[in-house]
Amino acid sequence: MCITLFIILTIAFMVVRLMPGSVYDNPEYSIEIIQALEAKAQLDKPWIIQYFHFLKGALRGDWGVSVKIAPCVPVFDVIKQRIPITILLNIISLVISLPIGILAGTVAAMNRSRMPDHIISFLVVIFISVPSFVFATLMQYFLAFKAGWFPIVYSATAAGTAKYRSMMLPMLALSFGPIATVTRYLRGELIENLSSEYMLLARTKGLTKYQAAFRHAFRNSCVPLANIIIPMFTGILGGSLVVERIFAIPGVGGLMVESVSTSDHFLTVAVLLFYSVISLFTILLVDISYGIIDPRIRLGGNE
Amino acid sequence: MKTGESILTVDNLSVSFRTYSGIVKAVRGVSFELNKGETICIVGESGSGKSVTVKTIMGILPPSAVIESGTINYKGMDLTKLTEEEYARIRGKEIGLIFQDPLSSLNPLMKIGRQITEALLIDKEMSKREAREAAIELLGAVGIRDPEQRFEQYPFQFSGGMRQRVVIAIALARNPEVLICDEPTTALDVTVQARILNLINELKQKRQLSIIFITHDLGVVAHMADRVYVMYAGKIVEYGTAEDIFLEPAHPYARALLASVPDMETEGRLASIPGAPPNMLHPPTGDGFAPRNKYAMQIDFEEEPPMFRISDTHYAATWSLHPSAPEIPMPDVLRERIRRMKEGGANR
Repeated sequence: MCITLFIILTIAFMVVRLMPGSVYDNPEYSIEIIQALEAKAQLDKPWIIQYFHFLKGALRGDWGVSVKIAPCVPVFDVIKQRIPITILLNIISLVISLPIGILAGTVAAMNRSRMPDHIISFLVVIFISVPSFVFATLMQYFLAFKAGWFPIVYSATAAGTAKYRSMMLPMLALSFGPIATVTRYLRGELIENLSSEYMLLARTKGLTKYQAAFRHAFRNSCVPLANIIIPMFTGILGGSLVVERIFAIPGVGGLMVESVSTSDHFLTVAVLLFYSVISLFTILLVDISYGIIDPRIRLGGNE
Repeated sequence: MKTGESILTVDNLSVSFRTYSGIVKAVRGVSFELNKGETICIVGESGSGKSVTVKTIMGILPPSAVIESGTINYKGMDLTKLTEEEYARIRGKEIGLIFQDPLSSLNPLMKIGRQITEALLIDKEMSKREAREAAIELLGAVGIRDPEQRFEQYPFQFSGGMRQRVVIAIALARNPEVLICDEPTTALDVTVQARILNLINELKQKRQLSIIFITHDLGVVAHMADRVYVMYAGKIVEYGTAEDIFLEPAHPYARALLASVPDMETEGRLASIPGAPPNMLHPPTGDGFAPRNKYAMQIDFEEEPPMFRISDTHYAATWSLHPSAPEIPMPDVLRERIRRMKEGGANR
């Protein structure tokens, strides 16, 4: 995990440094000022020296300061401010999409090849293939601008229900993809489990169709589901990069886009690091959860 | 043959599958009866409709299957007319089923114990603790050692034979009167096979079970059967007591099947049945086996043979039994073997 993180960091550093333009590009500064600033941050040296300088700083916990977005503030302090809203948004979307996805997937599987299944499968294809920012823009236009049901952008200053109302659209936009993913996955798993031999055995015991479906097929389908939920979180995080921007939400995603477009390089690297740590952590969680959830893996070592 | 009262009667049962390529007539007018306390074997090759027949009895046909005609009479009820809810009361309680593949018929993610108590708790007559004790007792009864400890384990911690014992325990949990075994030993090693068969016979004695045993293994038939039904292309082509079938097979398919089984005296090439089973998308007219029978007569291809009576217990559907049919010789291997069996007396 540490090695992966190191490689990610290295690549991030190089990509950022290879971008044209200086961190200190500013029409108000003269060439001399820029050169002096660059010399101070060792940016006039070859990139390999810059890289070691950066690593040395990173090891001491000094990741540099933001230049443009919040001048002279350490980069992680900038990110820290932005984290809560992003995490809140993502967790809420996940919480919304799970029950809906599970319900839709179950309905589709139990009515396989009949009308409800066809409708749900059709919607799933749309929701999976259309990216979240398209929904975000469409909803912003139709529901917020035309119909006026929701605020057009997120308002951080509003309190109570108004704040949550302004969060509704971005949450919805972020939920469609995960809902479709859960639905499709659960439908596939359930259909496979419903037609398995142990379902026949469960029914020959005398369980009714629904008892058997719920106690055996549904439970077993939820086990692998647990393992896609965690990586899905990373997926929502990726989606929120753009959606946050559309709804002007001051989150980490927006920060990432801003820092790149204003070439606030230290900040970009730090945000990238934040996303990488979260992704790596979720992968680790998945591996651990396999062992906890599935008895075949949990007990495998004891035999 | 025991002349007990009949407990399950299947009459003229036909089952078809609707598939994309057409209607598959899997079972075509099958009739048989199971008497109290006896074991009947239904023998036939893959695709002859054996499994479909028992799935129909259990009411667990896939949605694409349709019962075209016929009745299944169990204790005065016609099982083909039951609703799903009524069927749920029959399954497990009256008729139990053991599957072919114990490796896939247990829920891999549920503890063995719960899979048994689940069946016991359906009737709502037991508390959870009673069910647990009953389940442990059952596990012991089917020959699983340390049942208390095994109770808490998952299927993957059991060997194939042990899993089949668990499946048997589940099938017997609610004391059914009829036990259907759908090739229960096919997926097991030969040594384990014999133990499972002995267990089934033992449980049959103890619990006065009536058993329908599906198999394609004639060795198993010899071990288990009171009476034998030979099935080919969705029809019963011959039936009789085990002695009738083994010593005086009449239908050419039954003869060919018996001749293809090796024994200690077999030398040279093993006899095989030429050709392939018919495609049930286009079921054959006449005697289904005729295309593979070198003694087939013109009428075998044209008209379906009725059941000819050979003795009170022994019937076969083949035109070769018609009074005006020519004598058809028994295959040499078989004649020789039957002679030895008759000399050896009961040593079959």
